[in-house]
Order: sequence, then structure tokens, then C-alpha cells
Amino acid sequence: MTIGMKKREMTLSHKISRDWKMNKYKYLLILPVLVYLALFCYKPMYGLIIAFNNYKPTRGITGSDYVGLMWFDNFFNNIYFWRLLSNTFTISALSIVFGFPAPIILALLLNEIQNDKFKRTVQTITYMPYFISLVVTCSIIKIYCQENGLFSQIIEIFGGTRRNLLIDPSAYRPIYVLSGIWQNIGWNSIIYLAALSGIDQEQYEAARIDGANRFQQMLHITIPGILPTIMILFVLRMGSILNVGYEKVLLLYTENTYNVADVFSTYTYRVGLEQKQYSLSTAVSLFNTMVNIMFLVFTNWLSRKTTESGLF
Amino acid sequence: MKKLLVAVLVLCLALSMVPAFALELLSGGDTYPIDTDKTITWYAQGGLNPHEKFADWKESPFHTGLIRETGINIEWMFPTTGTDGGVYTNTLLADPTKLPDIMQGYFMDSASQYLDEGVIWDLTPYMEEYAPAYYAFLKAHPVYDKAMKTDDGKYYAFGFFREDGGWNDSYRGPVVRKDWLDECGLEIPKTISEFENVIRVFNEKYGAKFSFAWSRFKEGGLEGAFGAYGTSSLTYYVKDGEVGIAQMDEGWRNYVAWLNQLFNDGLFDQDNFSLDDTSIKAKIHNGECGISMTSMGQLNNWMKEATAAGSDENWVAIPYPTDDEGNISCIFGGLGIGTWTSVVTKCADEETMKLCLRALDYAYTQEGFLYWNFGTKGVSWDYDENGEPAFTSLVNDDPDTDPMIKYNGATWGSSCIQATKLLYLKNSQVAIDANDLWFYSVPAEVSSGWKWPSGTTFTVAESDELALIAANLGTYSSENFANFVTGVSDINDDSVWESYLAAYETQYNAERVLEIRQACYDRYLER
Amino acid sequence: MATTKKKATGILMKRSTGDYIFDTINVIIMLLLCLVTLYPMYFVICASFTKNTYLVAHPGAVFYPVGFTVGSYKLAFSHPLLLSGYKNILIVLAVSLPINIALTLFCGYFLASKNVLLKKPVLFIIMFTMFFSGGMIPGWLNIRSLGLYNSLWALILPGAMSVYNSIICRTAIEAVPDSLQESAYIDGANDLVIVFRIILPLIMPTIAVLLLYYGVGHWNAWFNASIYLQDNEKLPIQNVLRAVLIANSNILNAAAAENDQVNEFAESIKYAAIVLTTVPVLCVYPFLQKYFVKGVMIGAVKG
Repeated sequence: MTIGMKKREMTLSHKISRDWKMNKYKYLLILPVLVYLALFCYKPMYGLIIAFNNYKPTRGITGSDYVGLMWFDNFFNNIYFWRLLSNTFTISALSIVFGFPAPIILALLLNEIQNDKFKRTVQTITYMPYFISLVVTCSIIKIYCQENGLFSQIIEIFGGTRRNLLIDPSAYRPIYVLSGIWQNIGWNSIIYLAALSGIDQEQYEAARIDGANRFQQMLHITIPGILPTIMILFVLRMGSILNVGYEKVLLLYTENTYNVADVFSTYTYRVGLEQKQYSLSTAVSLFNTMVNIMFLVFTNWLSRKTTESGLF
Repeated sequence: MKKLLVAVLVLCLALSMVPAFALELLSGGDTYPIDTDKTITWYAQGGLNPHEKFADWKESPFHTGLIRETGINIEWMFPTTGTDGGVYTNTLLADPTKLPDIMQGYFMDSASQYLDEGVIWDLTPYMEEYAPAYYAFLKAHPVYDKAMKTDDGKYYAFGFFREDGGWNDSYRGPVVRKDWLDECGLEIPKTISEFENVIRVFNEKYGAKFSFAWSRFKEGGLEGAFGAYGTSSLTYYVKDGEVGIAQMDEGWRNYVAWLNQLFNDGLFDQDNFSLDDTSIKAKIHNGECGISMTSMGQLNNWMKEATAAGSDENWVAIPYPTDDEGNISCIFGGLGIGTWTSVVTKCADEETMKLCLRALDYAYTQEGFLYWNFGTKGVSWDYDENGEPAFTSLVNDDPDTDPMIKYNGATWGSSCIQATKLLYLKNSQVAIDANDLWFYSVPAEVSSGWKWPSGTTFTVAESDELALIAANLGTYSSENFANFVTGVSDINDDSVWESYLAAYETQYNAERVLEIRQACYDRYLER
Repeated sequence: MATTKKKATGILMKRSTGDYIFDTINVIIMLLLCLVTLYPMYFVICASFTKNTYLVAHPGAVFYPVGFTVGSYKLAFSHPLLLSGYKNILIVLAVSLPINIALTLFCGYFLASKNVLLKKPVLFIIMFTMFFSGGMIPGWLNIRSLGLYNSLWALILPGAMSVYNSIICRTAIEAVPDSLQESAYIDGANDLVIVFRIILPLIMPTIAVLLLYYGVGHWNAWFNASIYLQDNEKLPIQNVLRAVLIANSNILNAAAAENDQVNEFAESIKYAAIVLTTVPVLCVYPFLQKYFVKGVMIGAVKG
């Protein structure tokens, strides 16, 4: 028994020294990364403690009174909890349902274009909105959504009445999701186009010889070819399911659309930065993170089961 | 013998101090500039920002000039350009170990809490000695004195006051395009029905709509004609000593129902809800609006811009409309006291704190009053033939917007006394007449008597409780205001209205919130 | 994985009627997409040269500069913070990008390497940060305690590496044939030499894309600058843009009642500011575009 233990210990230390000898430069390379993570990611993480105490700035993060799950309890019993949860989830889900496939479809369509010059031009143009900052995008949206704005004028042509779309609760989510697609579709398609270029062309030739038409080729060669990429990005996207950034919402929502627009991040922003309830706002973000991780792990598991690809 | 000598010396010294301070009050502070090599940091959330043409306070004559005048080295600090001032202040407050020495911002509600936690100095023991001018000013004005301390009589802040009390507190009110009014053969509207008629006629004739051209619905508008006390944002008012929530009144319901009717008839500019002030304002010069609510300063700018553009639009102020019997419950008004104050944080040691008091006190001396309002004598202003301050051509010929801000600091919220003369110098006669009309057309209880007073303080326990129970109340009222106006919820439906009211009690703890507010108000009265 | 063959487009094929219909519809869709994408940008450019009054009357529908004026540009250039804004963002980019790329490359290389004992725990440490963070206030306190407050380093260091980007980098490195590294080892090269001499030149397309990812990120970032900085002269261009676009809402918050500073170019200066802050970044990317197709691959992260 003791001999066995010793043997194992020896192999372990042996392993370590061998690993060090072989990989010391690799460790040297990763060291700055770890230092960065320690200083700027892990060090502030102890601040999560304030979700569990009644944080008073004068008493510091560790000096404030421990209150257990009081803030979580407070939040779950908040009148707006369900509204925030369902808004966050709905907006995110809509963004995924419509926003996630959009760049894939664009990539597939671009892939079918025969004329290289035209294809490159389309690519160049569709990437552009990505470079525009959110505050600019939202300013343009506000201008277009005015009572006499471009959208109203279009609506009028089709027989509708002019109205301000941003104060219409039923228009808020389409505006949010569509503008998101507008901004990101081209840019997000890059990664799929890259994956498409990696597909072995011989497969297409073989399929053509077998008499497969273009739709069949797309279905049986192209999509399976980029499926691993799709799945990884999908898992990553699901891992941020409750992350609806506050900036765009703050810029676009009005009192009229709170009911459909208010999300966790805007709530956190309001109670944290405007009402100085640091503990409550931290508790809300922590809850947000936990839900995200649950979705991430679950989607990854599901993806591994069904398509045999996933993030990890 | 020795003891006696010491006693006599001390007495002499003490006696010599008294006239020195009395003299200071009269002559305006011979003690400035102070000889010191200490530096203090002075943070101002708003109102004191350098003019927009300056990249930095070091270019600003006012800010550098104050250093010269007081002799105290001031390191100024402001929220960075384009940043929400409140958010910037709150992030600063998250780290109480490194606060600026002086902080200007909204501290009144939570003063007890800040004192209790040791974030800010209790200035009571130091006021008389180190801020004699301010102390004397407060003692001379009991109303202000009451607002500038906590319920238990502690001084903690330097406030903003207007020289003439309320005159400029009603700086917002209704305006109309007189040229259109004449063209249509209409009289100046006096009642809300006449007001509505003007909206309708202007809409028929010019396609114009009614629009709140300033701050959307944030502050008082036309609700007084309906017996209400507030509009979109949650408003606490006081009537006969009772604290109430404006958004729960029948009068408010009538007012909102009226707005809803305008909205349905296409007479109300929908963009009021989604656009910011500059974009809304742009419509004013475009014939899209002929009757509106605005402020004295805005009216001044509108007319300047109209003249510059060669437009013949002629905006004039009209009195706040009343109901058909001539009754009015409130207009936009205040108490001549800013809700923003300057406090001294505990990051300043005792010596620095005393120096901060001296620096702040300067604004309330005779000399400092002139400096804060008009800048440096002989540079930005001088006495005119009547012996009154007047800006020099340096200011008058400057094409920038509000050029006097480059030289003075007496804007709303800064800790100083704002001279009425300054407002006269800043504004054209049209704007001054407007302010006169709005302010003098109603009695004091209508302009300011109904207002929740400035300077109330909650106890620590009350603050903690309100943070827990009242956080959603504001969202609820402004959200419902918007929904009632656009008709998403039908305000004319009694059952909708009943359940709206009921939710205040059952879900938003309005009863308890009002109880706390009432106690707070009563304590304020007893100060 | 990255074996790119000649595209099928060149091969002569008999195209059916269905193909023609599909191609036509496809082209129409692409053209519509381009129109929808381009119009708002075209509108902004036209609007920046258009008179204020026309803009107010025709919100969103400007098809050519009406009453051509450069007044709004004059006004924008007179903004005292515009030039310092450009200067600051250029400093941030010049310092950040090498750090970003170096850390991402190191991280990607480590994650792509095989037979490293501590790879799994390190991978976990890295991935964990992708989903957990301390939040805004602790992050702010951290910046203060590290002494970075009111320094441009506060804009550079907190986002020095993105885990997502290092996964892309790792995927690219994995696609480099092992044999190259092995023969380098045999020639006595260490990992440092391999990273810089062999890996880096081979994954240049990916590096180009990562440069753009990081660059655009820095260019458009504003929130950290708004709370980590104190001096206006240190603000990057994006914060100056925000000040122009939504500053009046701050005045609203401040309740700065009698001093409402609003000027006559209020509307068109916004468009000028948009053009001035967006054009530089749009100018850069066509140079990098050729790398895009090969530049980004993403693969599973296995320990």
C-alpha cells in the first residue's frame, strides 16, 4: 500500500517536473494572461459579497452587515420581478429566434452568389452598420420613429395612420430586434462565411454528379459543414440569454413602453447607479448570471447529445 | 496678576474679533484673499460646469478667478462631459475614502444618513466662526435657515437662494404665438376651454399641435386648471398641512383625461414622449406648434433665434389658464431655495474643512455676491450710470450661447445667492414680462404654497424603509400617466381608475410612504 | 480544416430554370438588404449638410443635402473636446491593440497546446471569467484601488483580453499543422520563438480580424471613460459624440432651469458629429476585409 502510494507520488512529481521542463515557456506565456485575469476579473469578484450584506460604502465591502438572502428575497417579491423576467426573456428569445439565424441565412445566400465582385460589395455594405455606435443607431431610430418620421410616411403610403412608433408598446420589440439584426447581420455572417470556405469542394462535385440540386447541396453538405460553428455560437449565445444590454434599452424606451421594455440590466442600472442601492443591484446581476450559466450548461449538454458538437 | 493679564488679553482679543466680523458683513470680506498654500478639491454635479466652449475649468475665467479672489487653491471637479451627473456623483460616493472635499449635488433627503455614517461634516460648531457671512444670511432669513439644517438643527450644507425670493421661481409657463392669435382673431385664452379652443383653431388653420416644449411633462403644466398638483412624475404636495400624492387625485384624473382627449383628436404632439428637448424645441420655429409651455430662458432664446432667422413668429407669455369659474390650484413654482447644496465631506481633515467653509462663505459676502453673479469688476461688468451692475461688451458682444456663464457662477443649484439683476441682464424684456405675468397673476399659495418644501430630511430608519418600499412608486405613476394619455389604459373607465388607485395601496405601499412623508413634513414645520 | 479549394463557381454547370429563379431572387434580396443598410447612412451624410429647419420638417426623409451648408461641421469642429477626443482614442488604440493581440495570442497558443498538465484548470479559470464578473461598483472600486482612476490606462487595461477572441485565436492556431511546430522543436526552438516566428505569420488573417474586433470595441466604448475619468481632456471621441447627441438630457437631469443651452444647429450638428466619429473607423476596414473570409473560425474548447 505504502509502496503503491510512493510510486504514484513519484510519478506525479515526475510528471510535474517533466511538464515544467517541456512547457515552462508555455506557462511563461500564459502568465500575463493570468495576471490580467486576477487583477481585473477575479479581484473585483469579491465584490459579489455585497449581494449578501447591507453594503454601506463607509463600512466597506467586508465591514457591512451580513443579511443573507434578504436582497434576493426582496427582489423575488418585487412587483416588477415577473415583468422584468418575462421582458428580458422575451426580448432575448426574439433576438435569438430572429437574430441568430439571420447571419447564417445571409452567409448561405452570399455563398450562392456567382459573381465575386457583387458578393464582395454586398459583404462590404452589410458589415458597415456594425461600426456605428449604439447611441448613433438609437438616434437614427428615434428620428425615423417620430410622428412624421420616415416609418410613419411609409405606413401612410400603405394606408395606415401616422404615429410615433416608439410610444407604441406593440412596436417596441420589433424595433429592438430588427435594428439589432440590421446592425449585426453582416458582421456576424463573417464567421459563417469563414466556416463555409473550409468545406471540402469535392463533396459538392460528388453531389452534383449524383444529381443533387443546389437546395439539396445546401441541406446535405453546406449546413452540416458549418453545423459545429453554428452550435458553438448557439451555446455561447444561450449563455448570455438574460444579457439584454441596458444601453440600447435606456436610449429607446419611454414611459409608454416600460411595460414591455424594462429588463434586468436597466433595473440594475436604475437601482444601482441612480438610487445607490448597490447591494440590491449586485444581487440582481448575480441572479442574472446564475440563470445564464444554467442555460449555457444545459444548451451545451443538449447540443452534445443531438449534434455531437458544443462549446466544451 | 498674570492670570488677570491673560484674561484681559483674551477679552481684548475677543472684542477685537467681533467688530472684525461685523465689518466683514458690511464691507464684504476684507479677509479675502486668504493666505494659504493648501489645496481643496471642489466637485460640482451641475450648474457650475465651465461654459461649453471651454475644454476645461483651467480656461474658465470664473473658476480660475475664484481661486484668485479667495486666495484658496481650488482643484475643480465636474462630471465628465456627456456623462449623467447623478450617476457620476453616485459612483464617487461608492468610495467614501476618496471623496472631493466639497461636493455639490442632491444631499437633502439623505442628510441624516450621510451625517450618521460620517460621510459629511456636521458644520454646526464651525459655521459662525468660519462662514460668518453665510451664517448671518441664514439668521436674517429664517425660512432659508430652516431649510438648510436637519430636523435636529444641524447645519450641513450651503444652499442656493434667489435674492428676491419667489420672483424667478415661476419661470415656466404657457406661451402662444401672438401673430397667429391675431391672424385668427382670437383673444388671449384665460380659461382652459379657451386654451383648448386655441389649440383646435391652430390645428385647423396651420396643422399645428400642442406640445410641451420643455422637459416634457416633468414639471408643472396646466394641471392647475383641473385642481390637480402634478403631471407625469410622482409629485408630493401639501394642502392644509396634509401630504398627498398628486397622481391619486380626482383633479389629476380630469387633467389626464383632457390630455387623452387631445391625443385622440390628433391635437397633441406624440413626439413629446420620445424625443429629447432639442428635437422637440426645433419644432417651435417650424410652424408645428403655436401654443406651448416653456421657460423664461427658453422664451428668450426662441425670440432671439426667430429674429436671427428673419421669422415673424411672435411668442408671448399668457397667464396660466384657470377652469371656467376662474379657479386654479397650482402653477409651476418653488420656494426660492435650490434643492442642490454643497457639503463638506469627511475626507477633508478639520483644517481643510475650515478652509472649505471660508471658500464657500465667500459667495455670501458682499464682494463675493457680485463676483458670483457678474464676474470680475472692470472685466466682465461695471457699474452703469445708475450705479447698477451691467455687463461689459466682453459679455454683450460675445456670440456664444449664455456668454456670462464664462464669468459668473450664479446658476440654479450652485451655492450662492442669485441676483435678480442678473436675471434681468440675461433676459430680454419679453422674457422678463413673461416671468412677471406668470408669477404675479396668482397668489402665493398657488405658485408655491402647495409645494413639498425644500430641505426636508428623512431619518436614517425612514431612508432605509423608503429605499425598500418606495423604489417602484415613481415608475408606476409616470408609466400610468403615459398609458392614460395615449389611451393604452382608459382613464374614463371607472373600474380602470379604481384599480389604478387600489394598486397604490396594495402594491406600492402608498399609505406607509405618505405616513413617513407626513412625519417628515411635520418635523420640518417644527424646526 | 482550413484547406480551401478552388470555389465551385468557376466550374461550368448546366443551370436549370429553378437556378435562374433562385439566383434572381437572391440578387434582389441582396440588393434590398444593401438599400436598407445604406439608406440610413446616406441619410446621415445628407442631413449633416442640410439646414436645420428642413430636417425638423422632414424627419428621416432626406434624399440630398437640402440648402447645402457646412455650418454644422464648423460648429462641430469648434467643440473644444473634438481634437483631444481623437487624440485620446488614438493613444488608447496604439497602446491597447498590441497588448490585446499579445495576450490573445498567448492565451490562444496555450489553449491550443497539447500535453500540458495544467491546461484544464487554466482553461476553467479563463472560461469562468466569460460569465462571472464582479459588477459595476466593485469594478469601479478596483480601478480606484489600483490607482488607475483618471488615467487612460483605465480604458486600456480592464478589457485587455477577450476570452471569446482568444477562442477564435486558439481555433486558428489549432489549424496550423502540428508538423511545423514539431520540426521547430527539433531544431531547438522554444515556444516563444514558435509563437512569434511560426504561428504569428501563419495566422495573420485571424490577427487582422482580431485587430478589427478590438479596434472597433475600443472606438465605440464610452461607459468606462464616463466613470473612470475625471478630466474632460482625457475623454475619447465617443464620449464627445454622446455629449453632442444626448447632452441636453443631462441638462434636463440637472434641472438647470434658467440656463437651457440650446442652439440653432442643434439638429444638424448631431449628424455632423455622427459622420465625424464614424467615418474614420469605416475607412480602416476595407483594408482588412480581404482577411475576413479566412480569419475567423471557432471551435470547441476541450481541456
